[in-house]
Amino acid sequence: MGHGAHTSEPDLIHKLKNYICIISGFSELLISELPDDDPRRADLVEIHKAAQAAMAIMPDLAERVR
Amino acid sequence: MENPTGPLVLIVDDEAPIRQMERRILQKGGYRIMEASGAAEALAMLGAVNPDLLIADLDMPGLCGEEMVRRIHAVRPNLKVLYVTAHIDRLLDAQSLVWEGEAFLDKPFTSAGLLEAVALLCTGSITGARPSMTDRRTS
Repeated sequence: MGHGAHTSEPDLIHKLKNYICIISGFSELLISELPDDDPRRADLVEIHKAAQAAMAIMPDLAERVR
Repeated sequence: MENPTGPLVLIVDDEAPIRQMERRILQKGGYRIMEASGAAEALAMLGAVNPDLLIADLDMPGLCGEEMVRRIHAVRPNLKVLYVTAHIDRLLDAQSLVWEGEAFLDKPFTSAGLLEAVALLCTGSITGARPSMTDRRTS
């Protein structure tokens, strides 16, 4: 998933969407597999919430670089 | 789910982490999964297997997802396809029609979104083969 200085804005958006997708998806998977009382659960929930928040601003960001 | 018995889904994406994530989400939902890292590998696999659904990344290097699906449909016209793309705006500008048996999923997507899209195409219902990811919400 490397990228150089000459990567276009739409391609950077594409890469960012892939990264967010991976963070959100795997954190959700891990949350679903952890027991409710696992001490790591709260940390994973915060990671997942941040990924969801990033996901929510992607349409606006994508529109600005269109 | 260790031994899923649901519909067979072929995932084609050049990004290994995306394939792995989709595999794990869908296996939890009861689907059987095969993976290909590109169009050529997918086309070769289809000589030996008969999936119920193809998940096609549209933004792959080399032969793009859309052209791959066109070639696959030449030999498997009834294969259902879920297109996954980070450029759905561009896609909708270029393609205003969605055929029966096709759907689009915009990246980044949620587990629930993926399961619902796959279930809708495979079974006609968003409840799918055996949902298990959506019952533990995190918000």
